[in-house]
Formats: sequence, C-alpha cells, structure tokens
Amino acid sequence: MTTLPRPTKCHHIQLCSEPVFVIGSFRSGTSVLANALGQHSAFWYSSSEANFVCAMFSRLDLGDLYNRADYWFQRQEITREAFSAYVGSGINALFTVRSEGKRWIEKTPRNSLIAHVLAEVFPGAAFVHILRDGRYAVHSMNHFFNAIDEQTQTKWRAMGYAPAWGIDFRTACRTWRDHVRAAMEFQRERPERCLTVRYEELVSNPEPGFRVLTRFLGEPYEHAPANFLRSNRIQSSFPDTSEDPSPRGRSDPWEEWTPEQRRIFLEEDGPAMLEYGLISRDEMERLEHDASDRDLP
Amino acid sequence: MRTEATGTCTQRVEICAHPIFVVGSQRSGTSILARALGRHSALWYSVEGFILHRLFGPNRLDELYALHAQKDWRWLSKERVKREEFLEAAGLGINALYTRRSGGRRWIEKTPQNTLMIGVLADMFPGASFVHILRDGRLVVNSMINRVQHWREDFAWACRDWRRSVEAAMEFAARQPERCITVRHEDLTEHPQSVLSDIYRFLEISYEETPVEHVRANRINSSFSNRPAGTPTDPWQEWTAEQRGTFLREAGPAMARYGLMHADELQRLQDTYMPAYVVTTTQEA
Repeated sequence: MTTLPRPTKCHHIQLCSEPVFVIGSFRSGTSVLANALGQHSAFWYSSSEANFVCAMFSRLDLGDLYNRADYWFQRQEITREAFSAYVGSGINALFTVRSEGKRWIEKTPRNSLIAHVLAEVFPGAAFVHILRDGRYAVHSMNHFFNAIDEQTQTKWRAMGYAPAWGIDFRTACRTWRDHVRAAMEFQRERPERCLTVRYEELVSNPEPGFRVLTRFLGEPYEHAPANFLRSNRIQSSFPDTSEDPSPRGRSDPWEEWTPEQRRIFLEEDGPAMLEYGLISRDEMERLEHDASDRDLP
Repeated sequence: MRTEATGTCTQRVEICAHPIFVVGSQRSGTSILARALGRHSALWYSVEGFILHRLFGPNRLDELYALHAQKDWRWLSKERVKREEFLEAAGLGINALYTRRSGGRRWIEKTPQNTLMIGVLADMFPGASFVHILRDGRLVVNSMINRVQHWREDFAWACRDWRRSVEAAMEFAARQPERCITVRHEDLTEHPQSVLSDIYRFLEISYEETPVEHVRANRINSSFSNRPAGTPTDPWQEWTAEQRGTFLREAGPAMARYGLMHADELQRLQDTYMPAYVVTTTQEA
C-alpha cells in the first residue's frame, strides 16, 4: 500500500531569548517597576501578574523528575539544564506570541521564592529585584485591605482569596523576610542574572536608577520608564494618600505601630534589615531601645 | 535547544506537527508496538519517557487553568488565553525536546501512564495521533502480578489498573475516532502485517516491512522469562477462586464491554466464582 504521507514537516514556534522577571516582596513596588519597564520600547508587560507561572513551576522538582527519567535522558544525551529549558519553552511561547518580538516581563512576587527554578527553566532570563524598606512594605501589607471596598473584602475572605499577610502582622513580616532573603540569596549566587534596586532610591531619582537597570538588561536608556514612575506612584494601600509621590509614603509605620508590632517586626525582620543595608546598626539599636522603652508602664 | 536566530530577541524552535502516542495498559504490548513502529522510516522512537505524567498529569493543567483563569484580572483572562491554548503551550516544550531528537521524523512517545491523561495529551498535542493496544485483561493482570511487587501483593489493584487504562483509552477512542485507533494485542502478534497496515493507514504513512519483521522476530517484553517464548499461559487455570472472583468484579464488565469476553461467558463465570469470592471474604471478615 502506498499513501501520501501526512505532512511530517515540523513547524516553528517563537521564543523570547531574554525575558525579564521583576521579583521582590509584596507591596515593594514590583507592579510600578514592571509597568514602568513596560513603557520601554524593547519590553512588553501585560499589566497583570501571571500567577500561574509560579504555580506551575513551584511544585516541580526538576532534579527529581530528571533523575527518575534518567534512562531516556541518558540515551538521548540530554542534560538537566537542556531539559529544564525545554520545559519552560512552551510558557515562553505563550508570552512571546503576545509580546510581538519584544522582551516580555513577568512579575509575580511569589516568583522571588522560586527564582532559581525560573532561572533554570528560562535560561536567558534576567531578574530585577526591587527591595523596599521592610517597615514600609509590612505596613503596606498590613493596610492592604484599606484600599479594597468592604464588599470585595468579605467576598475574598469567604473565598479564601484574602492573603494571609493582609490579615496577620507576623505573617506580613515573615512574608517580606522570606521573599527578600530568597531574592538576595539568588542574586548572591547568580549576580550576572539578577540586579537588586532599592525602591526608595528609584522613586526619589528614577533616571539614574533606570540607567543602571537598562544597562543591566542590555538595552539603551529611554526616558519613558522614568517618566512613568514620576507620574505613577506605587499601587497604594493608603487610598487617602494617593497623590503622595514620596518614596516612603506619608505615614511612618514605626510611629503608628503598637509596641508589640514593633517587637514582632524587629524579631522577624531586624536581622534581614541589617544584613541588606536597610537600616544601620545605630538605628537598629535605637529602634530596639525605643521598642523596649515604649513597653514600660 | 536547537534554535534559529531571528535577528531579534526571539528564537525559533522546531516542533513536530503530528507526533504519535502509543497508549494502553502496562503489560499490554505497548513496548513492542512502539519499537516496531519506531523502525518505520517516517517515525522515531527511543524508550519510555516517563516525563509527561510527572510534569502535567493527570489533571494538573486543568486545575491550574481553572484556578488562574477564573477572574477578569488574571493574566490568562486578560490575555484571552483559552484552555486549548494553555494546554498546547504546556506541550510545546516537550514537543520541541522530542523533535530535536527525532531528526525531522514523527516522534513516538509511549509511557503507559500517559493513557490515564490521554484527553489532556490530545489537547496538549493537537496534531497528535494515538494508537491504543488492547490486550485481554486476564493475560495482562497475570503478567502484572508476575512482574511487579505491588501488583503481586494486591491483585485487585492490578485488575483496577488494567481497567482504568483501558476505559480511559476506549472512551477517548469513542469520543475522537479520527485521532485514536485501537488494535488488539492478540491480533498484532498473530497477524502483524494486517494490523500494522491498519495502523499505517490510520497514521497516513506508507507501508514498510521492517516493523512487521520486528513484531515477528520479537516477542512481547515478557514477565515470564523462565518460560520458552510462545508458551501459552492460561491465567484462569493458574489463579485461585478468590483471584477469579476479584478479576470478575474489578475487570469483568470492562472485558465484556470491549469485546474481550462474551457477555454470556462473563455471566457464567460470575455465577461460578463471585459467590465463592463473597463467601471467602465474609469468612475472613
């Protein structure tokens, strides 16, 4: 029997060689940074978090999967690195078809916790970590529900959507610490792939900040991202301060917190604040002293 | 990864338009069929991948999609990513991986666990065809319990595994007959030329003798290596009355539904062995 063979030709898919992940803790300016970078002609950002990326790859133990299928991989001489890159290429294609040739940006804070996995799955990706003073990030998390109407709040809570860091102060502190530690550790291990920028510095002086950023990402400087940042503040948890463009916001968390909250913050986040240069040793001692003083009757 | 530079920040990756999945229960002859087809000049097969079900099975992608596409503000909704596109995207990477190895030929993947996610695979690989090999459950279960410890220890589990795989594949074949062909293992070993011709027609590839010769010269990957090739085994005679009852309970209806046992024969066997099974288990209890 002779039949015309079904078209066996392969076809091609387009992948972005150098996507960008904006990482950082919740309430640290990841959204405004991703949106600002998205104004650059070389980049594309959807203005929405692709949470499914983190959900898809966070549960994957690529090493275990590779080892368990070792016979096939050995026979085909496929390294774990190559395998991981193939696993990511389908999701890369999903973004690339929308970015139309531009480098796509994805930003979901939880990606900070799996930056090492994403680096493996997207081997050409660059990571930009935005680091914000823990006091302000935690304070913003703690007031997250302020910016949401009561009806939505009730609905979210009923559906289990309400983030735990918006409800519990200690959880907010731990969330900031865990995300920052993961991102900083990733940067320490892969400095060629990850750049950390300080939120406060970027907001106070966007132009030099974006010059450094675009240089790291290998693109020419353009004014649009800095202009965007100047005219758009961080997505606020404080609706009444929506016109306040100052890097730290109008409210001083330390003054607003109870003594117990201060103690919790210092306990959970103090070491990371010191380690990552967000507070000096003198200031830390002052805060510790302050927290214990205020506790006295 | 083999890519073609495009002059921008994008790269092009090759994927096979019409891959092939050989599916079926374990111990049903999926290996010999995949290896035989892999000898066809238009096709390529290596060994069992054991990748897809661990990455995405059995319902992981649907769960992910359901969770992350349900609100307007979610990325998948905002970018108007339909379920079909999402699943196809998930399959592209693995397709590219296999295509890189297959050298332009249509690749074949056969890992029995794929059978339980056959519907998902059909959406992940929208150009794929499926070849289902169906073998008499009695012979399959007997092979299972002589091959793998956990099946040996739990006879009912082996029966259920056979039934689940067969049901998944047969339901898919009924739903999408243009994408799935079912061949009987017994027919393949007795009449390889005829069965492979049917498969070639289904896959729209020309006739070649090499796969036929492979089936003739190679027996199924046997669980009975101590027996000479071709030695007939009759599991029914080897099993205890309890095993017979268990098999009839777990797999009997599927045997009749898929034409592997006549309904009258099933009834006769159930009348004979299932009461014995019930008495045994009641006494044990």
